[in-house]
Amino acid sequence: MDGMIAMLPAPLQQLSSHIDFQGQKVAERTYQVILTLAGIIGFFVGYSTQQLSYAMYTVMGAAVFTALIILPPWPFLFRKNPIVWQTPIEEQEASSSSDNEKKDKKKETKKTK
Amino acid sequence: MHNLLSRANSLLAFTLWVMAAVTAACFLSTVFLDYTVSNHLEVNDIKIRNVRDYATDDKQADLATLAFNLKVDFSRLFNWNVKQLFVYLVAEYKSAENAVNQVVIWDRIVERAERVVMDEIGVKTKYYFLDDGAHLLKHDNVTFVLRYNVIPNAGYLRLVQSTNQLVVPFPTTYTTTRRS
Repeated sequence: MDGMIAMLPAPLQQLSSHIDFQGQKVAERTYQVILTLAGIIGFFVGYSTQQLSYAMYTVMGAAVFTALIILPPWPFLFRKNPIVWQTPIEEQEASSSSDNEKKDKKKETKKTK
Repeated sequence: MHNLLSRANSLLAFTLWVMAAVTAACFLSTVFLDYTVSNHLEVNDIKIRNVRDYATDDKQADLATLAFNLKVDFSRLFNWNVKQLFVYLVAEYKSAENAVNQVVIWDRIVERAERVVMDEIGVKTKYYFLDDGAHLLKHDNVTFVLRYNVIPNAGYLRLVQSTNQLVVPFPTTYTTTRRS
């Protein structure tokens, strides 16, 4: 899947649907609570109307509603706790700068030839 | 849960779990209900002909024709776990060859949306009432029983027998005229 995403043009790749770890926990709890409640309500709806289809429609409607909540990566719900990565240590910067110096030297030598 | 497809997958899987649970609860809410109904059955115009049964052993066999009136109210049965009924009328009798003979002579599918109060008058048999010998003549106890399968949305296929049954003595002479 990541390979397919990498093949997309750059503007589409910007539309990332990823959410942070705390957001994943909240999203999972959200659909569990809503759908379980919908199942209980749906049972009583079906029992009172004596139509099993109405119970199923209740659950399916709740599933669509839940999808609107948890599928888009809402920044105010699921992206409030981004991971803070460690900053790269100094040594790497030093070595990379030395590499640049070497490249510069090579270029210079080529020019002289 | 980290990206869109993963969340959609979890949501769909859990939705199916909830639907399965609701269906199972529906089954549990109806499994102990009483599905028996009474009927009012009249059988008349019974005629027996002695015909050659070419299909099996080429012997003379008794073929009975009859008409019946049937009055049943199935509306009580149709709860939220009943899709349709398969109603059939069975003639049961004992003969010298077999201890139990069961002949299905008529059936009908009763769907929930359709007319579920049955009041049929002068119905002819749908299938041949053919004995495997000549035992129907002078038979004093042919019992007509109404049975039905209850086809559910969830659960098992229930077989119910209606409370009433009709015992009919059969004629003592053969009819020789053509079938009407």
